[in-house]
Amino acid sequence: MLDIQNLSFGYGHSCKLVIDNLSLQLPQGVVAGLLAPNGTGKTTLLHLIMGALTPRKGRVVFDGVNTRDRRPETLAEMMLVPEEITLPSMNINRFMTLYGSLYPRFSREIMERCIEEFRITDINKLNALSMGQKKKVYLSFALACRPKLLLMDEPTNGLDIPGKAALRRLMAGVLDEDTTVIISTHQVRDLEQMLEQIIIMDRGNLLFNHSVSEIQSAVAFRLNVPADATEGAIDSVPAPGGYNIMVENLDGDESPVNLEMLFDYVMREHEHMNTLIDNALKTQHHDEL
Amino acid sequence: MTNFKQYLNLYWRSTWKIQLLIVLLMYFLLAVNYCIGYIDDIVSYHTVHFVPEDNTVNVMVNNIGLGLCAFIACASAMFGTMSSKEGRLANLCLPVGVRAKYVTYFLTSIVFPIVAFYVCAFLADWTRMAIVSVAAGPELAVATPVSYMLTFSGADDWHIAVVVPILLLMAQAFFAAGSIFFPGKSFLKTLGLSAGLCVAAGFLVCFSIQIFFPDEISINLIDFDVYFWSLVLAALAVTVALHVVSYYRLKESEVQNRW
Repeated sequence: MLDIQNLSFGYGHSCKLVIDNLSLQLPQGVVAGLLAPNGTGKTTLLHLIMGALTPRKGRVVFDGVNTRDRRPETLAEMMLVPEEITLPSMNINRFMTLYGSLYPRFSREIMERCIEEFRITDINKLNALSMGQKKKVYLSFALACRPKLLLMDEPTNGLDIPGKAALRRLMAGVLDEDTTVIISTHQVRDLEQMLEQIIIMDRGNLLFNHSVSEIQSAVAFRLNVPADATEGAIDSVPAPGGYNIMVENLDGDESPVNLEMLFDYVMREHEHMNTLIDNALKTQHHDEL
Repeated sequence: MTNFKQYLNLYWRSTWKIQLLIVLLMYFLLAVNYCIGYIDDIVSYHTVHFVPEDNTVNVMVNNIGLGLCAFIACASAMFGTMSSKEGRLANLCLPVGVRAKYVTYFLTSIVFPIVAFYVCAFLADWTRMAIVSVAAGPELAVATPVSYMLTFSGADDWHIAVVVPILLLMAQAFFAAGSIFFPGKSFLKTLGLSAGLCVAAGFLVCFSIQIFFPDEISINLIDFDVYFWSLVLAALAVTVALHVVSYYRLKESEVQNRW
């Protein structure tokens, strides 16, 4: 389990905090999407979770260990896929042999399968690959290490369309059930079907942290509805053919979550959104009793 | 040390081309230095008034300079992987203990250059002997005594033999520390700082002498052995302290501030 406790961080000696008293718990095995506007601390949070930054206050605990201690045995169970990838000047077999030896759960078969799925061929020197190819290689390596905690910073940036589809297939097929995944992304449509938890933050503060099922129990999303259907909706945005709306889920229907609409509304009215979900959960709990 | 062997193997396999370049460069410069040192002998060998002179000491002094350049250049790159933001992040995320990383960098940037230097010095000496033998005569191709090669001085001058290597190690440690404190342009910043410290130390010493010894100072005031061993111990203490500070700096290092 990942437990972030009252985390605060700022760069250098600046008074401005990039992460401000953030607390968050993620159960084991969940795939969470981390959404936030540009420059508000997504990457910083991932680096803090990885133990690559020292927080001013608070701590990050993963499986009972403070990640800032950077114990090798803990780091061997964590993997960060950064937005920009740097690979050494060597061929892929040597890379697998040398770097794979550092991770006890590394599987050469999985990596070869991922490379094949991503359709990367003729890999002589890793540092001579294009940005997209480097990302594919590193994603393959990250998945092959089978970490218990996988952090991905804009994983689909630089990937071509087949690459994005391959990533979705591989994440569904290769990831262990007990692997906790946090995906920081702006391109929500690339991976929204995989996400089980949605985390939204702004200016270092946690605004929203709920599972997809909790969201679906509270609100429903309707696409391309006529203008008169927007009456009584929580939020509506113009769309080709009409409007996309978000309404209270009074019927108990489970509609796919429109992450862009959800994100936009949470940024404006996060307290109302959290209240809607809390009320829906109370009602559900009451009904169950 | 967790994953030490794996990391050492990984680091060497990643940087072997640079290490090889360093070795070849050192050998080439040493060989050229040796041969140039014996040009006069080769030329005068073919004239009537040949008087063989012992150039060994001159060559040794030049070698100390070459060695110093090689050692501080290697030490300046000791924490080269931490100089860029991406390199630093990749380094911090590897499941390798700090001790294992530090020992790997120490072996690569401190120990290896010293070993490589001596190996290259011997090879360069043999190269010099071969060239001199062909260009002049075999009687001129005399190997430099091993004691000279290993101690940078004559066999009977053991004080220099002790002090010079220790001062070289201290210079290495200084630039190694600079490499972790100044990730960008490490060599220049450390060189500037060390020059500044030397000037400041020189002023402090002169000022202290003016204050405490306003009259003439007798050269016999301090026993030479006390002075010598104080210098040796101080240099060793500074070397160890710099490496300890570098180790803890590596342990606590963070991703660079992006603003």
